[in-house]
Amino acid sequence: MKKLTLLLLFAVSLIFAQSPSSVQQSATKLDVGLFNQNTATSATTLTLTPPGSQSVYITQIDISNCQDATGIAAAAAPTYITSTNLGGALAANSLSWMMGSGLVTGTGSCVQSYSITYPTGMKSTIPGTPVTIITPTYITHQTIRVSVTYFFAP
Amino acid sequence: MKRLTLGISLLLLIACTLFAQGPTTVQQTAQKLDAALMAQAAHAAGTLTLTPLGSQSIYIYEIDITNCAGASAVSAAAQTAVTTTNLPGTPQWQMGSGTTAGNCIQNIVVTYPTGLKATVPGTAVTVVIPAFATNQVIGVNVVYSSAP
Repeated sequence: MKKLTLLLLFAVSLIFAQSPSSVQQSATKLDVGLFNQNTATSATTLTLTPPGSQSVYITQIDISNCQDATGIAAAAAPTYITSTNLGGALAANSLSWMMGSGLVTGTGSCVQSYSITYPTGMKSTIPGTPVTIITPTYITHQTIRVSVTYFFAP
Repeated sequence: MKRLTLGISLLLLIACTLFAQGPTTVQQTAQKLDAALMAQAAHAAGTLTLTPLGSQSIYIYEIDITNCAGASAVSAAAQTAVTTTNLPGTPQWQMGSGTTAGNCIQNIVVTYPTGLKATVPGTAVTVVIPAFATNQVIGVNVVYSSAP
């Protein structure tokens, strides 16, 4: 009986000796941005292709709209950086970002510089299908750079 | 001896139970369940209507607003605002005017890291873009999800 009691006490000590529950499945951070594509080329498409049937999760987009050192971008109607496979099935819901043509003075200046963050990720609408980000046709002396950070997951 | 064997068996049974339990997970699947799934965009005066599924709520994660001039200067005028309904405090964002041709005077990026939940479940959230001043263009993107 004495030995049995000792054994039970030993078992109880094991129960309280267990380590705390983990809050992350692995040491790797699974929702971190892993990839980046960027371009400063006019009328260019960035294609974010997921592996297999996974989805694209965008975590950040950076945009800057500047003029080069050799001239001034003539004032014109705004153009748009557009996207596909983001925001829903309707094309009208696809995200787009407006770009001004530029200041009438200020060679080398930037008229827009901003970053868009999606804290929990912006998931592509259709799994297994690329997301595209398309730069507009630039006005002479205008340069728009767009940088997209993302990762893939089910 | 019999009791000792019984005790050891009991101990082994408890140990198996202890070491069989896995760690508590914080995400049910590898899929990221709190990602934003929907968006609406507009570059004209009007109302974006974000309708939840059934009795769910709209959760807004990000709104970005750009306020630019077209090929001609925007005349100076009283400020207008991008307004909302069915959001706590009904947030709104003021829009200026009076800028030179081709210029953008505002690039506002509003981020809600854990989401901004609609006030009334089962009811649409609206984001209302004001009438533009002459030669003004305001662009709005709203990124959101529908969830309980």
